[in-house]
Amino acid sequence: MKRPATIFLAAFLISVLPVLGQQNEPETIVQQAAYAYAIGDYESAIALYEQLIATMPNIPSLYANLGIAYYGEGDLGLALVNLLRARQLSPRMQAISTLIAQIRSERVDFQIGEASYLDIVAESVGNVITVNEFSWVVFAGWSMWGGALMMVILWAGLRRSLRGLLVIMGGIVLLSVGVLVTSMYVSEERPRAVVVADVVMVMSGPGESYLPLYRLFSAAEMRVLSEEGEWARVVLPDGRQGWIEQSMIALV
Amino acid sequence: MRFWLITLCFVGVLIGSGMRVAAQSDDASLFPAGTDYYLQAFVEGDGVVYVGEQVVYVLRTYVRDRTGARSNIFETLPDFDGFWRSTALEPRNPPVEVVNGVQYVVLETYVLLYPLQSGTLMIAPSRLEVFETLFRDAAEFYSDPVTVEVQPLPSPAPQNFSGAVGQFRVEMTLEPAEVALGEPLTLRLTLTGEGNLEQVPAPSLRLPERWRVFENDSSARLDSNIAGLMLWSRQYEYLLVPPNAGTVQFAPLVFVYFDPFTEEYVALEGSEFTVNVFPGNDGLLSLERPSQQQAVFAPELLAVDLSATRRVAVPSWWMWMVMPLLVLIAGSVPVIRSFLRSRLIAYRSANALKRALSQLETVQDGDDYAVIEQIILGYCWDSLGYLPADCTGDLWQIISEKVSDASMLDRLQTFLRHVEAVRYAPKPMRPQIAVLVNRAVDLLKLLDKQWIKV
Repeated sequence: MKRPATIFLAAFLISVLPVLGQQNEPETIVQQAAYAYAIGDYESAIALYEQLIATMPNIPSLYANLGIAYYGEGDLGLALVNLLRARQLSPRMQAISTLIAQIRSERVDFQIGEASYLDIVAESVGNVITVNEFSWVVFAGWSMWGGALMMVILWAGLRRSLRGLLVIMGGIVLLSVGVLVTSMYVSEERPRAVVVADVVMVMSGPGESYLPLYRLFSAAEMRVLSEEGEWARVVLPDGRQGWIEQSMIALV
Repeated sequence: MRFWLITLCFVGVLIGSGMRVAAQSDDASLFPAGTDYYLQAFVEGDGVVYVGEQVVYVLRTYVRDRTGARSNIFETLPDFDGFWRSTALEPRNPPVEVVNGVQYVVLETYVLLYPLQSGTLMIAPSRLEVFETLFRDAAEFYSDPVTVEVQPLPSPAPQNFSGAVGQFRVEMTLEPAEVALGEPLTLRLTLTGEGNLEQVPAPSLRLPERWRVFENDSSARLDSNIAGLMLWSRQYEYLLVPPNAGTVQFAPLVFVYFDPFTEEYVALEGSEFTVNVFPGNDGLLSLERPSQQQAVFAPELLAVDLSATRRVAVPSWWMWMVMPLLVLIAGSVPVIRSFLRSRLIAYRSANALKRALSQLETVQDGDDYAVIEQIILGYCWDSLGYLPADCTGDLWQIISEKVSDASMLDRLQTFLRHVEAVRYAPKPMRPQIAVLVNRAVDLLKLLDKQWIKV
């Protein structure tokens, strides 16, 4: 009697344990990565965080911790890229903004601002709210304005009292839609990129045969305007443009 | 006598300096005789240059107009594909030339170009557009295209080649020579010469280890000297902050460029500098944190919430369409309502007599005489285009404006008063209701013909 029970219990454990292990695996990896960082094994911490991000790409704290691990290793470029990705997912996390500011103060290239007004608008919005969240806010405003408009149309008595409010609301909604479209355009057509190589030479055209214009160092930021083969045309915050090999930069 | 001679000489000098020198052109064979405008383009030199070497593209516009004004013409330069285009210059005092016996004012434009790649580069023709005036029609002129042979730079280039092509000079200053720890030094670097300085990156500074560098200012200027050379001057200014106290030796700066005249790479060395950095006010010898303290300032990892895996999605496109659609529907409701109302009014008006007559047919003995009055009044409102809910206002005033025969109003009022009187008369004295109905029918038929049709 005991033998079948033992066999049954063993079979049950063999079938259940892998499932249990699978369910706890991400937490385990997080703990392992934190331990690796604490003892200074940044390479292992980086590998573990990248493994987590591959399966769960929408968690901002994973990108932030990966960026912190790269920072510990001394790679400012990849640290900044991952911190910017974390901020894209969670713009209101103050710790991420602080880390980004720290890296920007330590990089060689001194850069402030944005190249164009569109970028300024998109960046201002992106510092507070994600594009997707903002689209819902605008949608809510759009719906409220439409609802108020409908009420005014159906009930003529409300026209006089709501007219001013409708005009103001309409202006705000239109402005918000404009800002939303700008943010979406910039994120699609002018994505941010960061230099991940130690030093990169910016050329006047898409190739080594063109004239070198200036140098950029690790963690320098830019926006990508177009791509041609292995080269990308970029614009810096101060307005300078040029071509960079795509392997030397990483898109945020 | 001497005074007048001197005066005459002085006046002669004044007049001579104000006159433009009229030169005979050697290009008479290329110049169609009798033309008012001509465009000539060429590059200075033999047209064979190295990549990055300065090329001066000259556009000469010959204008027969005595004033030499640019107001009637518009010059369009080509795109200069394959070149980096720099400054365009126009001399203030255009010269005068005589070609085929005709005097022309020569408007010149100089464009500095730097070829970006080797090979045979073609500069497309420039265009001159002459505007229509009272004396001539509009016209267009084109220059000939210009070919430039661009040779590649000799290889291999030195490892620290800056990319500069031309002839240059380097000047460097560093001040002050003595600072206290924490105070900055100012390094000024000036590159001067004829060539593509505009495109060349700042030379890399050979600084001691861990010195912090802040780029303070940089400027670029183009000068033209007496020989007509276009000289670039670029100045860089840096603030240097030494991390430690002590005496520091600066290695000389090396600037490597290619000289197209000697066809050799030239390495220019800047000056050597020695700087004394004294300890800070409180005796501090170094600004750097010890490595143990660096670990304290290492950022902490953030807490990871693995449950937040879903990302907020953007509202679908069709959701944005819902509200405008609803507004459209709401906006169309009053329009539809108004349309239906007008159709109803028109229908009731067109069928007012028919409806009134059919109602009168149903009136029987024993019914209240007031029914007749109601039917007549209802007919009037329907014919006038009023729905029952809108029957307000003075009916008689409205009827008087809508009938062609004014006496109809009196007849109508008289009949209605008669019906009213019959209602309250004693029963034996009341006429049969059918009599009143027949009279009402006749009255309505007559009234129906009297409405003024709009």
